[in-house]
Amino acid sequence: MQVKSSAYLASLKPLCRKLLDACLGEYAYASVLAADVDAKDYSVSRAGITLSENNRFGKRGFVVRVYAGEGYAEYSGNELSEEKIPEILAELSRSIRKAAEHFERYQTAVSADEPLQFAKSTEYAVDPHELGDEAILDRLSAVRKSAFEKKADLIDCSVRCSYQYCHKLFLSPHRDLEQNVLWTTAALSVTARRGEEVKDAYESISTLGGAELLDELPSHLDKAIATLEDVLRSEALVPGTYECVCTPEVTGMIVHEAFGHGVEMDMFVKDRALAKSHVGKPVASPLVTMHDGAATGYEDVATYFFDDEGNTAQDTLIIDRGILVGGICDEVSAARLSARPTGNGRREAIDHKAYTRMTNTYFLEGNDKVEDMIASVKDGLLLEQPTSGMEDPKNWGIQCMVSFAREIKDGKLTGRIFSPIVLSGYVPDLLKSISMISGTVEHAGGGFCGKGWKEWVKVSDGGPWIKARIRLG
Amino acid sequence: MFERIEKALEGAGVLVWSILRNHTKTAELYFIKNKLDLPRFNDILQYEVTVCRDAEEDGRKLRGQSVTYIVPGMTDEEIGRKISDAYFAAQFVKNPFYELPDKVTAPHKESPSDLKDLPLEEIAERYAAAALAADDPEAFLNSMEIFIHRKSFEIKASNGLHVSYDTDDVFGEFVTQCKEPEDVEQYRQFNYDSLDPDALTAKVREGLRDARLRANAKEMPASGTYDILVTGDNIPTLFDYYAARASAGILVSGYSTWKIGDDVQGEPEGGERLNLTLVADAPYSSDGVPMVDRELLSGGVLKTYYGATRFCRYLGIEPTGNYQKIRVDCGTVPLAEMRKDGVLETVSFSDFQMDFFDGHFGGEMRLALLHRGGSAVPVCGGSVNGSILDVQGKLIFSKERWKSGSYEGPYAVLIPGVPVAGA
Repeated sequence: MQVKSSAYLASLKPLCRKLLDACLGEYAYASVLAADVDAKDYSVSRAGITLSENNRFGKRGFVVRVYAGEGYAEYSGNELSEEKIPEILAELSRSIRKAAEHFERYQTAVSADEPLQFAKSTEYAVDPHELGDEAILDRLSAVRKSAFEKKADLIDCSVRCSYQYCHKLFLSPHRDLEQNVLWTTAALSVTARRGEEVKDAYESISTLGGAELLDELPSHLDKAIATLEDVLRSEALVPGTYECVCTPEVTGMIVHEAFGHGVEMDMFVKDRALAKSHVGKPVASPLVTMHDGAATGYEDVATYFFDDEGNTAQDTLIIDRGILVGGICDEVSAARLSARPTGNGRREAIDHKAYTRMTNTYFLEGNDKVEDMIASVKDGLLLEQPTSGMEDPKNWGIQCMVSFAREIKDGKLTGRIFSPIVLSGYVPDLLKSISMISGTVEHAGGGFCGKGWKEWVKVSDGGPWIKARIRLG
Repeated sequence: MFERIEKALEGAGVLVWSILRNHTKTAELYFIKNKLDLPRFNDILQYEVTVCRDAEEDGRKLRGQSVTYIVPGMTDEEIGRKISDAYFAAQFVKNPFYELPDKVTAPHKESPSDLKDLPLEEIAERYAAAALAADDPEAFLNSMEIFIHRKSFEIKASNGLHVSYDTDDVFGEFVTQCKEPEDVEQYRQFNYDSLDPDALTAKVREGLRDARLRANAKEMPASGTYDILVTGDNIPTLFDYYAARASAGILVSGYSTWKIGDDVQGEPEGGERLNLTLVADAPYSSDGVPMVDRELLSGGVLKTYYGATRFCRYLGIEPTGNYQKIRVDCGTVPLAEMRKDGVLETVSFSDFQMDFFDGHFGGEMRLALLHRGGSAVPVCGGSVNGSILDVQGKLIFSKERWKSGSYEGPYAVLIPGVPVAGA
């Protein structure tokens, strides 16, 4: 089934066209992005049941961008009427005039605005609206109940589900685009006490689709409980540099945090990314090939047809067998760098600026078997369950946190567990040290990505199991 | 719009409800170096409507709630449908019964900030000019984002609760850069609730100095155990452990077992006792609970719980609302005395984190100063990985004070014996 168009956007489109025309009467270029995002969150936990529309992302409104000679200005709001259009124009005019009085503008060329017109939708099997709130909550409650049947001494099993119907409309002098995208995520976390400490383990799943995802959720419970049992007997790690095997989830975090942020080309414009000076040079092991894109072969929660600046989604090759071949780019940065936009201009919501952002980001698979990778480690660790990471594009430093590591001695898992683990070091050192890559890959889209400490967008990442040398604390 | 929503609530048969109106205007300026990249303006109005539905099951009284959002442009038919859908959904939210906040009516509270007297664009321009005025012989401002928020809130509930208030604040971030001898940067956030552009000038100047120090940081600290000094904006993260574990939501979830009167800082091991106050940064919570400053810890002893209405009711305490700001008593030791040989003074992290579940804190150091032989050697890289449970009896707080939008308290906290992964 295809996601249907938004009736709200259909009714708003004539007004958006009028707003666009009014802006084009005063400015060399204008565009209007209108959004109708229906987002809902469900959770079942010891604290009770919650059911709420998601207000961070579930917004309805528009953003108008105008080109005022040297650069752009934007106005976003959620109240659009014929009477409101002159007010919007006046506000844009005032902010452009005052900016010109006080500050020199960073010069930007106007959008090429090549002609483009389409309306596309993603597909789903089970419509969350049709499945209904009661059935969704029942499914989550059943998983929670099952968790306590399997392990009675849990503090809690928290089970969550979220979906977003994301409808967008983009209008410019030569573009008229519409997209309707539905994604769903679900997650469970189990917690238990060890003295004063509370230890947890989680599993999350995602799909570019609907509530059919919930069929998968119960099968992840056993793994989460087994992980929790392991973490409960973990010990502190002696800091040092270790030979490590990373699960695909940890690979995904390294791909995304350690390298992906560094090839967001708005950071090239600001001279905030070391990658800018490494294009065409080796940055990783020849085993490594990396892609990002909302139109890659791996469909996930960051798949779409056009970005928030009206550019078509693409599949961008970033690292080709160890050589950095290019980055990902929003439209304004592309104009400043004489590059082409790659469909990566994304906003958290209509009331946020567009930045260059990742979408579905991953390493390609290799040829190794996971068991051979573990068997090849003399004295090292298997890293599992990423929790968070922070980018450092300027200096390619790494900060990634994982929940735990399993000791490997003489090619075998010893059963010893260390937790928590902080990964640090220099990105190229880590990527160049990759010596084995599995033939199997996995992707995950359970989380959101921030730019620094804000601007959250939905992303997925992943790849194969990798073997590398990593500094751990 | 209130009338239209209340009519829809009545039409759907909703007896217990609350509405939060939030009208936010934001002026934004984005800079690359000293040039303006983009001016933006936001004008967003929305109504958060919470509907409650009561039921009984197996002799237990239940109250379910569901939240929907109403925005301009919605027709009466759509508003009615959204509220009916939310009310229908609330019957599946089978939570134990709790009372909504008590009825409060009060005159409108104007923003207490002097920011309210100026147009948003002018405030943004003043702060931008203040940041651009900071200079350094070697470092410079790489980029900056400034957000000036003017928010107007109005809360109504079915029990007659009706309050309203305005707030103004300045939020933003900047990056400083130094190109020689190594090309590096430092990231900082800022948050002010009064007109104080000079404070931003000073903060940018510090950021420029830190970029210069980072550019000269040639070495990584050796792996080992250090007495570390956590400073400035990273300190509130350290105290998140105490604030989180005293929150009603965390207590109801079972993640915390703290009781009021517990000495939650544990056995003193030569350190100072923690006095921590929750500071109200708005007159009301999002559901209309009047907010006041509350003493959370006194001498390391837990004095109160706090949190959202539902969880407070479950714990049998008066609802307090959630808090975003803390105040901590300063200590008695001057910063100069804390900077002893061997102490690692952390200046900035990639992302300093506290896991309140297990008490582990840490992060990768982007800049630290290793005090050695009377001088402070800039170092970078490596990571801190400690546990508050191991060190909380040994914490030393500086005499010097630090203030930001979310924190007032000691500028520095000395934490003895923390593992560091380095060279």
